[in-house]
Amino acid sequence: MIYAAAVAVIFIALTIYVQRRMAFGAFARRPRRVADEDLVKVLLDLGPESLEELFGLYGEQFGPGAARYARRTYLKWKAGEVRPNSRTFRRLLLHLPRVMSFDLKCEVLRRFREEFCPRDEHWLRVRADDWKESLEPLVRSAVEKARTAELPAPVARRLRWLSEGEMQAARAILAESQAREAADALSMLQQEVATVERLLAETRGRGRVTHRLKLPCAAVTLVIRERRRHGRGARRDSTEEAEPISADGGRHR
Amino acid sequence: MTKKAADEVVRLAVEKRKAEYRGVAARDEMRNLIDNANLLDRRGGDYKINSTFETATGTTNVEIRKSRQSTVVTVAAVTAALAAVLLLLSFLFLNR
Repeated sequence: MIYAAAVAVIFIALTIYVQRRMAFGAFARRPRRVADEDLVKVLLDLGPESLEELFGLYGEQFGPGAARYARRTYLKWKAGEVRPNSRTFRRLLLHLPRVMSFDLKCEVLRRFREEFCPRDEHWLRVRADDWKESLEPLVRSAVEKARTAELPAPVARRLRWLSEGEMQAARAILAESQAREAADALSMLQQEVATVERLLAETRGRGRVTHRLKLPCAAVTLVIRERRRHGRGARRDSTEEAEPISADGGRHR
Repeated sequence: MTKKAADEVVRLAVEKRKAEYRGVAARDEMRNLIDNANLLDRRGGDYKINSTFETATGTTNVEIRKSRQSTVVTVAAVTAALAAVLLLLSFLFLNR
């Protein structure tokens, strides 16, 4: 009976572990089967200015009728209500890049990197006083990953122009930019954790806070708890005490 | 190419500034949330508030709850678990 109980406990623990890993961990990578419509959808998710430039070029290359149709249908393509045919795919993603400006091509590359470069998912339980030690290695690895990330082979094979000629340099610029974004996020998080700590202190143990940190090649879900108590009767340094959040975002004095 | 690199530096600075604004707005909203929770506290009774904030670096989810019933349930569950462990241990030792 004891053996049965022990086996049951191990089984439950394993199930919880695998479920958590599947939700947040290494198993959570998205499957990558890239169809024409997926690529078109990502392209049409460009910012408004880039999209305007894209449709302008479309009109110049394929005539005003085709441009009108594309403008009319693009929301349906984006929502997946209408599947773009292979001619639309060729026009948008194989023909137009030959006449796109370098800036527009960079924006397209940025969107494709955001969408298709592998993204790690992490889940961490931290305290307000030890989050940095736990998080720093993950951010460092995200920075490194952003610098070296490549588009998956199926995408790169279909859109060769994304990795040819001047786009190699564009890739290096964007990768460096993503790496800096990740590093900036860590410095901004410092202030956010301080705010969360004050919130936890003011709600006197009734608050529960989860923060999802978005990084270019990773996402980290942090469950933030109050800092560790330093033993019964021990006082913390008064400068470390969490102060109330003021209406103007600073600390009450 | 140098121009593109310079553009990226500007873009990063703009994105950072936007993120800072989001952070300030989130702090204000959290302040309001705490005020609301304090108000509910003073009124007495159970409550649960769930809020999501777009912050500078991502999304923060805050849940504040006060529930006497859940405290009773937790205490009962812990007591039951302890009793089960004690029973198991006594069974183990008595059968030796």
